Amino acid sequence: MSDGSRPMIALEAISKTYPGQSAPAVRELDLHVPAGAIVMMVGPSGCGKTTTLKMMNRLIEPTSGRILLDGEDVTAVGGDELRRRIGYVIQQVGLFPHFTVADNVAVVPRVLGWDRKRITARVDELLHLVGLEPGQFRDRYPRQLSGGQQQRVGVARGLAADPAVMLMDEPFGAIDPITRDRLQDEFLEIQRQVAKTICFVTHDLTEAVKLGDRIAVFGPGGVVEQYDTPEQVLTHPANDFVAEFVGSGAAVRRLSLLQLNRLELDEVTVDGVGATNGHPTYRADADGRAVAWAHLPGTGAGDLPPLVTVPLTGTVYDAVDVMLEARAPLVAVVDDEDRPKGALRWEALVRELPTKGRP
Amino acid sequence: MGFTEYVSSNFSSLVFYGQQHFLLVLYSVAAATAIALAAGVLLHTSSVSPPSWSRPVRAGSRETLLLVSSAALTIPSLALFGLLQPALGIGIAPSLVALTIYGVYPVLRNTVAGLSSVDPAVLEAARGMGLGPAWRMVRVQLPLAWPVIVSGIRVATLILIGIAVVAASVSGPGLGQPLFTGLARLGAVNSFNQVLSGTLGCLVVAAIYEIAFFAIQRLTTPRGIRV
Amino acid sequence: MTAPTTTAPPAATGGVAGPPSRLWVTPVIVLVGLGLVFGYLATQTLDSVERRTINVETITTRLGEHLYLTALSTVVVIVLAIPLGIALSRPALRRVQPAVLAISGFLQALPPFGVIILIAFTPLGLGATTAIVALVLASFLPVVTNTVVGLRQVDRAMIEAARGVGMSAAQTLRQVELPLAVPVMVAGVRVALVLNVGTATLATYIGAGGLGTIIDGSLRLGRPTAVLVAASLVAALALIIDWLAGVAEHLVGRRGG
Repeated sequence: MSDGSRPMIALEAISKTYPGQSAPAVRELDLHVPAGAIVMMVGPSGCGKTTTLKMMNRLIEPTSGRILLDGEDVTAVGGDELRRRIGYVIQQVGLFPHFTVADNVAVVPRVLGWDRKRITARVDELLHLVGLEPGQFRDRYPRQLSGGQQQRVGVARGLAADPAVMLMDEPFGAIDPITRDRLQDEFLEIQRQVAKTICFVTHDLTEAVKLGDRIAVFGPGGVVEQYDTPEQVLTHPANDFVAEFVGSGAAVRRLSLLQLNRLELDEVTVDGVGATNGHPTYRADADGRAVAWAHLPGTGAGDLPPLVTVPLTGTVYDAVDVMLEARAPLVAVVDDEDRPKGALRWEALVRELPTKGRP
Repeated sequence: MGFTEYVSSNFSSLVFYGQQHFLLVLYSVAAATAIALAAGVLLHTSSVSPPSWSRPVRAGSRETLLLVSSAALTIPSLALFGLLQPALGIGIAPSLVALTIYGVYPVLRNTVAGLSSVDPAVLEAARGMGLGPAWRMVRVQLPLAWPVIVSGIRVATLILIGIAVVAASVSGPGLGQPLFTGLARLGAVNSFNQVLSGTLGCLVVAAIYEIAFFAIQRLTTPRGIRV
Repeated sequence: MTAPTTTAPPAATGGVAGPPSRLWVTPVIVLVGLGLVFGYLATQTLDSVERRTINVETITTRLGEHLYLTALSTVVVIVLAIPLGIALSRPALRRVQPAVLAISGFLQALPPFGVIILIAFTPLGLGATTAIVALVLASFLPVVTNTVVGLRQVDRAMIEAARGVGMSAAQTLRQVELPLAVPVMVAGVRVALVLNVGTATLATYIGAGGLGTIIDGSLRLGRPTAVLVAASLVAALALIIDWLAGVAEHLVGRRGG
């Protein structure tokens, strides 16, 4: 995270009061979005998160304050020109029903006057990126696509002119849970490749924790109550409002929001390879898969618990579940090929869970 | 003389009246469509009109225009044709003007309805991508509203076909001619056939228009929104 | 389905239906319009021919005839066309619906003028009865169409919900479908009313009187002032009747809502 460098988007004391309303929807808000980061804007409805997002591309004109895009003051430049430099994806997708998929994706490049060859190549590249085979989908119309496919096209359209910044307003909010989960995974994969600066509005805390490098929790009256990493928001809510929003008292709920790959796990070693150094040691089969514990620090050879595993992509909640089920004091956290990447011990749960940055 | 006999012996003159009728309606509908489309597009919220025309001004003028053009439909056709006579004389001019006045409302109403029925999400997405009001109107709103606008033009056409016979009261062209002749000679030989041929001729003209509109709907509806 | 359909927009033939909040607009327009016409009239010196038509007695008589023709034909249309429209929306007849709607749109091209005269050739002959039959024929199909369209746009889910809680088909029609279809149906009736007022001017050609008699006579004699007076009365009558229907709809709607 590039906290020291110049932010890609900076809102400075930005306010919005809608005509005919006395209370501002967004009040004196400062927000710095680092380049290449995904910032999730969460909060209850009516807290100004969508208004804030739409002020970033001036779909809504701020009443006061400044907007800086990559250091440039864009508060007063032409709105349409500004918006062509910023990707925009909304919940209802809003594909042009009378344009083919390819034409939808090509809209902004065409307006920007790209040549035909470059546009065709870009469209195919983007359709590939979002997982729609160009040969199959290029000439389809939006109504011939499922909701999930439409939003893939929506994301491709937002990325079309290769903007440095993407604004996304609950893009997966109207999609069924199973598809949403897959789209979220793909979204992270896409971001690994394109490394955009992304502002993402959601009302779903799970989504915010899963996708965000940082989370901005909006409170009533259009203020940011906390702006921090997901782990900090979950484990150290800044105030009562955030604590209540995260689910104060429901510590278990946090476990299900925290993915194992974001934890500092205990090291584990394979039996028979060098010294154990006091780490848990497991016996592996020919493929490197864990079979059983060989040695655990402080446990006699006769008292070894069964070796249970949980995938790295699971949550702390899953790990607890597995441990309780097997009555094991620790669980091996394994990768896609069942090779242990570390272990999580029961005692660690009741202490502060050590976390690290995004992998 | 029976009706079929009458039609076959007067076929060429009936075809001539039919052609006149067809063209009279064509020109009036074209003029009414031009007026209604221009007004509908200019007065549409978030359209291409100057920014100084605030939203309430546009909405107000749109409502007023709809009200005035629908109130125009309550003027009896006989009187409207007659009232235009002092200013425009007799013949084609008052006929065209009167029919155009009657044709504006159906097209305007459907233009307004069509433009405002475009999915707001589509327009928000377009705005969010930095596409200006003219682009949105020409590339998105008009194409999507087009089927509804065409059906308004179709309704206007069918109404005008029926009203256009009254044009003959100011010596206007078309199928009103045999109808009025028959009326003037009511009871005389062939007066019934004349009235019947004028009346049914309108249905023939309407049938031709219906076929044309069917083709137009098929050919001009964008593929992605065809049902 | 609030947007007009692409096949047959419900109130396509006219109707000055506006939102209930604008109920005051029509009376204002009528008063201003009539004010302008009679203000203009006051500046004119009428000749003896004009005085023979533009006088209280003649105008009241013709207005009365006009109202009679319009009112009676409207009642007949409502009594006949709405039940037919309802019947067409029942499952048994639903298949013929598209055909009826298409024909109904097509027959709009039939000139009422020709229809009126043609009926005069039947044994009915000349007179008010013929005029009323012609007016009924002219406005019959728009009312049927609007009844059908009004019932068709009722949310299927509502009907299923009504049947789901054990309502019979007749109860569903009476308590769910008809109330929800009323706005569109009333729009159809208003169109029929407005059209009838205008078409009734043609009744003069078959000796059924009405304000058309003043229009036709004054046209023949080249007296545009008298034409203007009669025409504005017809228009005012149409607007006021439409407005009354709107007020009635508003009151019914408020009771229902």
